[in-house]
Amino acid sequence: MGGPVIMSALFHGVALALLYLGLPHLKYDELSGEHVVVVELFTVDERRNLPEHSSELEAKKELREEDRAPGIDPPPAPPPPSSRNSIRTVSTPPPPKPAPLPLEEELQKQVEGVGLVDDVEVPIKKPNPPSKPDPFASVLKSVEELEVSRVARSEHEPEESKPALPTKDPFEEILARADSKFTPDAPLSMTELDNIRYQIQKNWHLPAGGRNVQNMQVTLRIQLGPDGTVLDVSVVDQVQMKTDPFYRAMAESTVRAVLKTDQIKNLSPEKYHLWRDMKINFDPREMFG
Amino acid sequence: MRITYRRRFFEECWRFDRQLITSAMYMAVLCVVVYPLLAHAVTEIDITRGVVEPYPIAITELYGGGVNEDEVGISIADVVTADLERSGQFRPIDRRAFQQAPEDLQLMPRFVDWRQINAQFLVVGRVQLQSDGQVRVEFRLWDVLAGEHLVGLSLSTPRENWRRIAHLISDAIYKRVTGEGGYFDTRIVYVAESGPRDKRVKRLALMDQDGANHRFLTDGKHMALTPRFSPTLQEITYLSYFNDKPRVYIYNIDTGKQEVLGDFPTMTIAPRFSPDGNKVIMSMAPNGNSDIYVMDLRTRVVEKLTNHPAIETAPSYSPDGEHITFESDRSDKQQIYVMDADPSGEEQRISWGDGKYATPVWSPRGDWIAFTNINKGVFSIGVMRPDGSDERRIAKGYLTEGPTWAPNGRVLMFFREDQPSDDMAGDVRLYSVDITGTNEREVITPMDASDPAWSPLIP
Repeated sequence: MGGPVIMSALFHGVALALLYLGLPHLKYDELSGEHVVVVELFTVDERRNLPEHSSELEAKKELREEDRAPGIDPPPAPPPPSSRNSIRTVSTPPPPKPAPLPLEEELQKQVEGVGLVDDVEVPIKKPNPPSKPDPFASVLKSVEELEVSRVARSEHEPEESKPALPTKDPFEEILARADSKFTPDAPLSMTELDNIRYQIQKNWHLPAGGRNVQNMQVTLRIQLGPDGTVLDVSVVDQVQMKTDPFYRAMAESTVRAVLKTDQIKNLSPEKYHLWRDMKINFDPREMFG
Repeated sequence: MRITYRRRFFEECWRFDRQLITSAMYMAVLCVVVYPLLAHAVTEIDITRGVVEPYPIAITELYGGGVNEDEVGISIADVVTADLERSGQFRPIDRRAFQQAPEDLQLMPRFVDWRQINAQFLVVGRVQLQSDGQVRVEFRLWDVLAGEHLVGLSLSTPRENWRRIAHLISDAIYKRVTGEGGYFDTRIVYVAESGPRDKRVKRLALMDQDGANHRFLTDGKHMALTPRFSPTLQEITYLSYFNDKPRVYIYNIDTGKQEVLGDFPTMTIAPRFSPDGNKVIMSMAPNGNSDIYVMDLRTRVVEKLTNHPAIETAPSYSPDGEHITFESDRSDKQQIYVMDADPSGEEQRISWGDGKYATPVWSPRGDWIAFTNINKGVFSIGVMRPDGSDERRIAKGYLTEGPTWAPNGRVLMFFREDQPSDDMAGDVRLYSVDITGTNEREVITPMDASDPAWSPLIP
């Protein structure tokens, strides 16, 4: 009797150990070593690889509209001033845009409300406005770099003040060079990958300054509908999501980036099988220099 | 008979297990063959850049249903808005753009209305005034894009204490969105300065981190210097000169009582609590040479930690209490060193840049050491890793020094003196700055202010 019992117990023990130790590793691709040179290998097609009958003109038009203001969200429609008891709908003709909320005044009000002992007169001072964000390579700023950047900008200001010449749309140029021979099984081209990447990354609010955020990588699995609408998005590493609040903050910021994108535009319907299910890896190391 | 049945039962179990093993092996082989094929089919995209901008957040007035309740609700929403805006992590949206009124938000918000104004988060809540004078506040934080409830709290307090409720709500929102602890329900103690330069009156003052509830702790008869908060209690240690002798005091904010920690015969500076609040570390010069000493607050036993002919001062513990950082001029110029928190600890220099380094302060998060750098007459506040790497300057000015950390280790406060004119002293003001070197803000004080110290979260 003892033999089968021991064997059964051993088997269950080994099976549980394998499940415990083995399963999490299916989700990790950890690189070991201190001096790792990251080489990104793409399996992409150099050519555009679209069938001739695809709605190219329509795509070009959409791309032109998108790229006029790269990196900047279109400003929200001026909101109608609504009284606290009424709800306005979007179809209501928008009245003149209300003036922005004077936050300085709000802060002053707070100071006025401060109860002071010894009848000390409180000089009301305007708090400094938040420092303007600068387009640094690294999100971790140094005041020395800040000054160099200011000098550099002031030197280039006259040139920048000139009216910008209309530049040619880079997507359009690439499309013009595209080969029209369509191969359905070819992977997505670099242009197509860049198109998806650009639309998501402009909506990614990176939680810079969080502990160890520069070493965090988040992988999302997203499912898209035939029109590019985001149907589902999920974080691959659910274990770290539940145990590490910094990782969760980072992962949720990436999920919000995809959800804010809502619909990925300018995708080729003929390649739906290639982009309907994708893995998106968010890796901010480059931003920290 | 029973033994036979039991034996047969276990044999059956083992047979079943063997079948299971065989099936598992087949499945494993199948997975090995099929998984790479499936994995190959998924397109992968790497995103290596994002935007560093504050999160747009809609903070609605907390619904009360009556005039008094609405008044409290609006005040709480205003303080939460100011807290989050000042953090630099959030951009509160103008309330006039909101399309749903507070009373309509008590159930499920209409997320499409909030997406239209580009809100990523929505704060809603309600206020109830109770018969015993207490105010009960409920709030919820919604993720507008995912349509999910992120966090909710219900808090009760006497009505006059509503500002703390607002700060606690701000902390909960900040923590849920950024993953870091909040720092809004905290206080700042600092040295309030007044009078001419040669007869400067310096007294301790205390205020909430947003400048509210300001009050003085000392009357200014004796000069008060280097106030530091206990990391565990609402207690302050500071140095004061009584009859020209330096004394280290401990002041309890809740009770208003203060006691003399020691009547030190020699120069004693920079007292600071250990992370567990049981010790005070400081520098003393009993024989004319300044070294680092630690006093156990329970036994009042003083122990010498460094033993070097150079000047060692400004000690600060690491958050785990295992290490100490301090400044020393043993290599001609003031530099920053790190040592184990015991007398036999090895001392290692970590600052190697230009100029002099002073006032190192270990971050509560443990990942950075803040310091003051003086190079060619220019003062700056910087941060570096505990091993001296990744050094950056995050603030600069004519006389900029005295960094102190918020309890979440994310925000720093310091003071800056403007350049004096011919006969006028320059203004001395407090400033806060994010660890990324962005979002520098002046902290409003009623008079000149220096040497701030940030409290832990109020218990």
